[in-house]
Amino acid sequence: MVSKELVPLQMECTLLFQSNPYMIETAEGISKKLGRKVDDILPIIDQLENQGILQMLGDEFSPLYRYKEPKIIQDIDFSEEVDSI
Amino acid sequence: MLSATGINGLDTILGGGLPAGSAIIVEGAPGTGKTTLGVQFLYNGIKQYNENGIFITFEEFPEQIYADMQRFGWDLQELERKNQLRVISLSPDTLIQQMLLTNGLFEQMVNEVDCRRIVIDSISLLKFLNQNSEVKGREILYTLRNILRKFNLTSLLIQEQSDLNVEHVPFEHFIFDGLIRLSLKEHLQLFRQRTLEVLKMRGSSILEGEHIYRITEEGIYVVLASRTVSDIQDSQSDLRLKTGIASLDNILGGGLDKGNIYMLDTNSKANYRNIITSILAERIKAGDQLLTILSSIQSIEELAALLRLHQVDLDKVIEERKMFFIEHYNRPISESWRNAVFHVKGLDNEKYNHFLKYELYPKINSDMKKDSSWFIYYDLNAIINERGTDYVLRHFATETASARSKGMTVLVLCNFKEVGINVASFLERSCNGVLKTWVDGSYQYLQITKASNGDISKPYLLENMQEFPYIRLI
Repeated sequence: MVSKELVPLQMECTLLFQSNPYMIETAEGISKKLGRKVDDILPIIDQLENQGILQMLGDEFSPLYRYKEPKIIQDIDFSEEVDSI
Repeated sequence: MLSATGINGLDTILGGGLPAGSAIIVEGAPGTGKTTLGVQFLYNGIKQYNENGIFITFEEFPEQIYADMQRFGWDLQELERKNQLRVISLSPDTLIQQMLLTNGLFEQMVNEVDCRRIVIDSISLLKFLNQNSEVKGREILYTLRNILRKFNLTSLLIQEQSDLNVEHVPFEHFIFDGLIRLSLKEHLQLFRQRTLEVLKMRGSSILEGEHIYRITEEGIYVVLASRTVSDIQDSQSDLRLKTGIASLDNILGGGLDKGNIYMLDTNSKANYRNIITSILAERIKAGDQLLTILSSIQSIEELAALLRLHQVDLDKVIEERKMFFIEHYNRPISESWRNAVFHVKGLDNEKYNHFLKYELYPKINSDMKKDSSWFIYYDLNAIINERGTDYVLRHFATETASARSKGMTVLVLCNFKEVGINVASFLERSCNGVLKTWVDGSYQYLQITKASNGDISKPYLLENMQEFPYIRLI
């Protein structure tokens, strides 16, 4: 299993919301939950919002973020392909 | 309207469930299972009562809750996919902000899942939103309660244990509708016992006391206090002898069990005469044959007067040869009652025993062949005074066993305190049921401390009434 620390921050953030789909957090709250600096988190949040993974709620002065569930979720198992390589 | 929790035992304690739309605090120390109780309340609501729910967590990751609850077989994510549940993680201030907004996130989510039940884990954090102002903290909780009421949500608000020793009662105990406390206590030195107590439930009558609970593979499981393993019994059965006091019959599960031996343990201050008279009157009305051992402080005249108050004419009963007395004292007896009285004064223990064996029992035996039921009132205090403790120790068990084998019901009057611990424990063992009545201060109490159905009751207050049957248990 790959250590979480090695996963890029964007992936960490996406996983956090995917595992807790009804989490509503400020940037500070997300940084506390991930144990990362807020300054590092802010650009990632922007990026995820642009990609349609996160949705911003509230106003610009006190923004909140929630997970925007994709329309279709599909589990894909790559293990067989990985084994054959 | 009640919102059943579906948790074994808890709904019985609550008289059916939580009042729908009420906001209840669940208080407890870490490890008592507050979160489990909250999730179980929501899960059962969805699965058993078609009431959807929301779980709000301030500190815990929802994924941790999903994983923890899997051990009970509760797939919370599946319920989320079916739009029946939301496990929402957010900060306390965000919750309050969103609750206050018109069509805010809170309102949206309540509508999204058609939410009827909510759990907030925990309100301890809400109180600390404004550390510098206790007044502001109160306002937040007051606002929260009002919003929950507005949406008519049945709510469990989890709270860390408040200090039991402080005299100050936390503000939230006043404003919310109920309080359930979960505790961990030392048990048999090595173990810890979990107990649940409902301390407040507005508009409901509850089963008081601390009830033991276990966290089983199916979640929280409460075992009611004052109950031991009981036989399945029919309270309406003919084998239940009514006492004439409806509230006492209820506690006894319908009445005294026919063919059993009951002890009424009374202290010197307690008034037991009304209880005894009511039971005797009820047996006479039911057509039973009665045998009574008279005490030094109760003559037939006094008994006749008491029975008259219970609508029984003793003259008529004696005339019909339905009631007999064993008399240890030389007291004047009216001519018409003479044939009903066996005088045993002057008989030593051996002769008294001979009288029982060869005169009284054969008479009762021949009478029993006529299908009559016998009820015996045995004033053990009189026998101890007249015949001594040794006599009782030697013969009581044999006499009661013989009565039981013949299907007779026996009510024994005794003062356990006077006879001493060893004799009392012997007597208690010989009886199927023990009713204890005592006076403490200005009040008299009655408690079933042993019953054939296994139930041990709480102490009831005995209240005198002006009208028949003159006693009520509260």
